[in-house]
Amino acid sequence: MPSPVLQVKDLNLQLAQRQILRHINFSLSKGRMLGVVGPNGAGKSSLLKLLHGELLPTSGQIWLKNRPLQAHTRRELAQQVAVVVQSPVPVFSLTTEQLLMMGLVPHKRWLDPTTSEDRQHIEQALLKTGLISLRAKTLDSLSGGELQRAFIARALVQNARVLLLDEPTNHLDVHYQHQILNLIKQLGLTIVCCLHDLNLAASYCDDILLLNEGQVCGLGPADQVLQPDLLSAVFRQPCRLIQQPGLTRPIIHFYPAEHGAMHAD
Amino acid sequence: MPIKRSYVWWLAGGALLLTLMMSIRLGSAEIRYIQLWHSIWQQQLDPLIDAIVWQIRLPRIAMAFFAGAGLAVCGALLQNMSRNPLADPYLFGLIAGAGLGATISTILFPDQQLPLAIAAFAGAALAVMLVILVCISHGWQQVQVMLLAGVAVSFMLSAISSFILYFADPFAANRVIFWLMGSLSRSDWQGVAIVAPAVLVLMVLALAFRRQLDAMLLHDESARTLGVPVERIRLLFLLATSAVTAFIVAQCGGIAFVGLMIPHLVRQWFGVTLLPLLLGSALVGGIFLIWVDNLARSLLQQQEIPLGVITSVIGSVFFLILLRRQQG
Repeated sequence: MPSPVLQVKDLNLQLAQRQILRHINFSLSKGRMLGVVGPNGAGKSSLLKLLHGELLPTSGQIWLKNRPLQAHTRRELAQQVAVVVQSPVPVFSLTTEQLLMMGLVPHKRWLDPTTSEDRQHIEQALLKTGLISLRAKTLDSLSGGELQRAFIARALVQNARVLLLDEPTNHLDVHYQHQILNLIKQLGLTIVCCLHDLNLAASYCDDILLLNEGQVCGLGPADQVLQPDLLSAVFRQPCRLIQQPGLTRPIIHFYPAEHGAMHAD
Repeated sequence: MPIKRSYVWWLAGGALLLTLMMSIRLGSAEIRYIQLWHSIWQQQLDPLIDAIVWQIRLPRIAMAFFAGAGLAVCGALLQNMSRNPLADPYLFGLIAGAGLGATISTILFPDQQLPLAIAAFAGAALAVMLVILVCISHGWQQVQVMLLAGVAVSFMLSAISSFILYFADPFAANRVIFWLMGSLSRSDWQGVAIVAPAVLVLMVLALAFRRQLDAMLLHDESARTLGVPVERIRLLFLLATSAVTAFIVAQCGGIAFVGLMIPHLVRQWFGVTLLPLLLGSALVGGIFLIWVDNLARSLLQQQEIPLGVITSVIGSVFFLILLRRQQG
């Protein structure tokens, strides 16, 4: 059994007298994709912020490979962990390629020039994310899906082993949601991804971490964690699984309380 | 990318050369190019022409170039790191601080040049210290805090200056007001020897941090995830740009709009990332201020117009045109 790439031990976070996260434990081995799900305010984003050092835990530890996260400098951390966050479109119109160039930052010092190797690296990332024809376009002219792919491409240039994503499918239509998650899945990185859509999470993630009010309510493969009773309680909305012949996994369906009550069996 | 737009660089380089050649002939004494040539390369043929070229015109042109370049570079850096296209040294209280220094010095040591420059520098430094103090007490969380602190300090220091000037004699008030409007008539090699290295050091520093500064163009958190120490870099460049602006203001007085207007043009011609922006701002800013100074000394006979008046006129027209274009 290889040592996990990411390990979280008894993590607690308190912000302004409020307990945001309590006793979080999980570990993630190389190449696995963990989906973090839960209602609004469950602590999903805060957990992600802890994982890239934007927030410091009140207690508990995060280990990257065999080294605690706090022992890394900001630069070392950026070489290990890439983050795709919701970002506003910049004031000054940057191009896709200039956004990707940012991915080189953790690997460059002082006056280090951009080498032909770096350019190839950027070329590769553009190819992998299907952005090669949009390289000279400014970010404000990209669609939501293209912009999201551009940020993922930047993370590729960053060449990190762990990729963190906060709601990468937000504001995207169905086609782009699947396109983005497919893309992420193919990268072969160790991934932690916050998702709102439970069906998407179930289809793409190897493991699911269900959070509610800062606590872990379930951790494991999707079909074990995403049970209707648990989900009904956590999301405070009646829930059932719909089995369909021809589908590999059941559809998670939340239904209106009164209407559903009549049909629930 | 600079490669694609290489012709812009050739244009700017050519413009600089042309500007230098034309500006050096401009002045009340008529000097022909052949005389200039002798004066620059052989010297000591005609002591009068040598003196005019070496002691009056060249230092003034050099000062105009480096002051213009410096103000434009400071503006570009402040705008990029605050992600606000309207940021410039004025916004951070530098000119108000320098004005206060000049006011106090004019009252304590009337008719002396050196204390005025030193006091102006000290005043600008005081303004920045106040801005930084406010920012630190608010934890450097937001760019807006930085901008608001600058505006607040600016108004406070201006109010103190006005209060002092109100009770001072009218000559002191005149002197301070003329000084604040900016002039290059006092330029000498000593001044250039202070301003030029300051501008060059700032540029090298910015080039060394160009990737980090570019990464900050999006969003602070996004830059931090790339390993950029955002707060420290912002503090470093706030201090560095303040020092350079203070050096320039202490030598030339207040010259408005250069730091605001030039980077705006350069972004469209050269690019938004730091390398083309910085080099372009230095070139265009330098050329611009040489021409402003040429206008200042040739528009009216027997009298110079303050630089700040000309830059403000050009600046306001520029922004009105910009406004029309954006609406249309």
